[in-house]
Amino acid sequence: MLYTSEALHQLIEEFAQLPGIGRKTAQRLALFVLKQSKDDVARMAQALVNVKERIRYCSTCWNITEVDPCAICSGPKREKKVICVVEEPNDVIAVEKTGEFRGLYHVLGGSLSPLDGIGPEELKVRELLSRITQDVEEVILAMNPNVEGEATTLYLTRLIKPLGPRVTRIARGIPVGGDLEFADEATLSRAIEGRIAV
Amino acid sequence: MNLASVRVRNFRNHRDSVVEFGSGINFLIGGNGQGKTSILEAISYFGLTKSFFSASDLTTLRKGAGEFEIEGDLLTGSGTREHILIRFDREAGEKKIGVNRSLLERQNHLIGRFPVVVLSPESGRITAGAPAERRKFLDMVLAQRSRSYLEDLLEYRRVLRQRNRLLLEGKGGRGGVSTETLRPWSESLTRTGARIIDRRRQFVTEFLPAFVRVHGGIAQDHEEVTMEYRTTPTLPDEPGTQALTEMLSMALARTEREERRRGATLVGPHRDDLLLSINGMNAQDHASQGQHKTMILAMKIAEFEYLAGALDEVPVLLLDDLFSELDEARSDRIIRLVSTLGQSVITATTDPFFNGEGVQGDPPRTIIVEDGTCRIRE
Ligand SMILES: [Zn+2]
Repeated sequence: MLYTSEALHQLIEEFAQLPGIGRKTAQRLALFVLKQSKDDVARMAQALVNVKERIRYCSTCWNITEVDPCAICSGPKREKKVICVVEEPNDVIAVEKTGEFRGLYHVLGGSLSPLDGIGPEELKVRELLSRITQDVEEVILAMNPNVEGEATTLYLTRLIKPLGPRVTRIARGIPVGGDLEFADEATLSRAIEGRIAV
Repeated sequence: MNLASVRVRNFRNHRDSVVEFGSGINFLIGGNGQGKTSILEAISYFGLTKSFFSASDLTTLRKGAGEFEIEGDLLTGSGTREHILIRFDREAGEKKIGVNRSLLERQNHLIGRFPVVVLSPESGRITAGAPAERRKFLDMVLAQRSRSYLEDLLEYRRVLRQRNRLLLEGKGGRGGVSTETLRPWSESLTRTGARIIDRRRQFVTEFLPAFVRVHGGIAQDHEEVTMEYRTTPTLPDEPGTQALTEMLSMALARTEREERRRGATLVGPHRDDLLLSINGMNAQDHASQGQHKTMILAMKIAEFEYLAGALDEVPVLLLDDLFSELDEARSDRIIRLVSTLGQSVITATTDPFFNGEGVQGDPPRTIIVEDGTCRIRE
């Protein structure tokens, strides 16, 4: 018997389910929880439950929200004629942080990946297409720079273009603050491929 | 590049061995199973991040050990010292690679930095084996030559797996996926595939003259060798990737029905071949054993020249068990040739024959490998 308490064992198992947490870290986290006051632990447990009870998906953009439609979709200052398509709610947070984008979002819920059983039906593709009315002037495709993101971009481009709006994709290239000299060849060659006139 | 020393811990049958190399030829002499090939394997990690011999790190871990370490001190062409440490942890199931005491975030970035050329008994499959062996040869050379080739290759493999998965859904007349669903994967496949084919055909153009020349220098009889890159259906005449992309997408469109029936992608660089011929005949089927050996040696030396010319670093040449069946005259000739190429590490069960006067560069060093230990023979 490795652990003398079944409760501790169970908690370690739960932590070990989290992404990026190995067994050793799970054990450390569990022992940390054990040392905390009962109030602290109750607050943490409640926060976990709240996430599931209060948060739902916006029925327009499929981002996470507590009110439907979400604050972005119902925001009076947002430009309704531009939609930025992303894979996950995380990506909305990332783009919002820049403060540069004032349009709307659409969260697909992932990217096409047959190996993971994810086809167009598993993503919010139909919901995206139904949002593209005459008022939408531009759709920005902001997928992750990997094989699956690329296929999703190609797939959506073909579907959206006939509906009228301009379809653009975010540039892939050199990170800001990155030294050209140290950029790997693949990044650099793609940045050159996607170069723009000045 | 010059390998000054290697230290291996818990690697195959080595508990903790240190080998200091000379800058010319280094012989590792020992009986079978004593651990001489393991030293070559360890060096190949510096070039390829893995063993040339087996794909899995677990198989190179010494029995009963929890982790292995390979440590190297190298002198680069520009005169700087570099330190590499590769550590595999059995429990974590992963490998970490550090260069000059900082961890590499992407292990692929080691490839091409400390190039190696390996000639082992398995290399014989390149001329005698299936097309996959020749594609592997092309990929190993080109991945060391260019990181963007390696990135393309990894990307292509991923796209291929995704696309094959889709095709499998319709195998044997079951429903199958729509053309719209398949199309983005076909587009990715042709674009990345065209870049890979273009690099490979450029390589063959550059490589062929060196191969023919080196082969002419070591072949006993007058024999003519050629090589040609073969793809389906045929390579377009125009250079560049544009025409290749079009060729691939047309070929894909033509085979789509058959692909759906068989549940696999049937055209692309993963199906190509490097056609080798000797005196006008297909080498795979018609070359004698001796002809195969000469061809493979010539290919490896030409590979060495190609990488040495294309990279900032001269590769280290790793020759495994090359001399077991050679007569004295041939052994002498090869050692003289190898001595002109810089640093090499050569395994043999007994001292190979050579005439010391013909050897260039630093005098050869002999290291005795016995039961997982190494010592320099004075
Ligand atoms: Zn919303």
